Amino acid sequence: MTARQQGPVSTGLSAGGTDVSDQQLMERVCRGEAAAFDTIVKRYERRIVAYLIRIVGEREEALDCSQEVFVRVYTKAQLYDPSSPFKAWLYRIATNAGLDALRKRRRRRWTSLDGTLFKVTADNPAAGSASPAALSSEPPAPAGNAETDVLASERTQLVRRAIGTLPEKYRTAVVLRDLQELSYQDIAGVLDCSIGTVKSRVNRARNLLREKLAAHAGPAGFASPAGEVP
Amino acid sequence: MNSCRTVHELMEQARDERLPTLVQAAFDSHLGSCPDCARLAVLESGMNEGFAALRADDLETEVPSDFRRQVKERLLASDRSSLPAPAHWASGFTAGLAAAACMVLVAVAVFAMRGGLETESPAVIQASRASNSLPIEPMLLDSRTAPLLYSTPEVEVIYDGSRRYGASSQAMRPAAASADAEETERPKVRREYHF
Repeated sequence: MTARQQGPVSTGLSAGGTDVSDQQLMERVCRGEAAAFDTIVKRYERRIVAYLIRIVGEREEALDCSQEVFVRVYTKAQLYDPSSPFKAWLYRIATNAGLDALRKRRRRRWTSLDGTLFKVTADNPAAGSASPAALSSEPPAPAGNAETDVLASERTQLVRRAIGTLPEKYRTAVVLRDLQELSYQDIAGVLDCSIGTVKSRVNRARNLLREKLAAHAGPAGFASPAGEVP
Repeated sequence: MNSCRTVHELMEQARDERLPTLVQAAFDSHLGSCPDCARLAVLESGMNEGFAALRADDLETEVPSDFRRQVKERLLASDRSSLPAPAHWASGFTAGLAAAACMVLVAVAVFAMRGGLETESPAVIQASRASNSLPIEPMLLDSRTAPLLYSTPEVEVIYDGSRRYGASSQAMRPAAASADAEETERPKVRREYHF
């Protein structure tokens, strides 16, 4: 494997080896260097866990998926093409792991122990999706009682819940674009579709989010009290 | 800029401050005159601020201290699973392999008996054919008939390397035939035995 020559990577996660590119690390991983793999995990573990929490909606399941992602990174390292961005490859693995988990959960829900079918309710409009209630990794409310802080926190909660109610393909696209900040080209690689399709999905996701948030936005924006996202 | 749809399409670029100055001015002007688009812009702005807050949250996502250890344990487990198969699987595999080997042996044997020997007649048989004008009737032998052939005085067994060829210098008499006259009337046939 020939590592693509590129400058140091700044991921915002300074844990270990930020002066070494992902491609160089993967080259070492292919040679069996455990330390290089450890650096990769350190560099991306938070992002992947956070991403999978958004996708699968449950922290424990997301942690389980994240571990599986890094196992696949190691075992499939020889399949990585160093001429393509590592981040796109990593997120592709993570997306597949997350969607696999959602599919398994969907099957579990549709086949309950007593044989009755899982009923789709208003509280859970899409079986298998990340339900708002499941997105429990919400940070505590900011200290202090400043009205602006409360409103900002409330707005963040609304956006978080609204993302959780999006259909799977829109949620994945908007999370990759607006939360993980991948380029459209990288997202196209992750989702194995065209850039046009990615843009369409992201745009559709944002429109849906706006519609959901509009119901809670007062004349001045997101000033209404907390409530369920429609 | 008087199209609400155009404004909607430019929302993302406006957020990222990627609009050219003149377009940005037209964009702002439209928002000032269109309440619906102005409200949409407020929603867009709030949503983007929510995204930014979530991104900040993501960077603070708590990962268990033993996360990497658990990944390594999984790796070790996956390494174990890639080792040679467990006994019950291995025994089945071995049985399948043995069956396949038997089938290959049978196929080779059939090939050798039906066509292989005809096309690869050894020199000794060719010489025998050349020296004998009688027609040759190939006959396939199996493990039951071969010992009988050895014990028959009319049969001359010729060895040629790893293969053995039996050829009779005269017609073999059927077990049921008993009349000498009948035998003398029958045209002599030279039979070639392959086994």
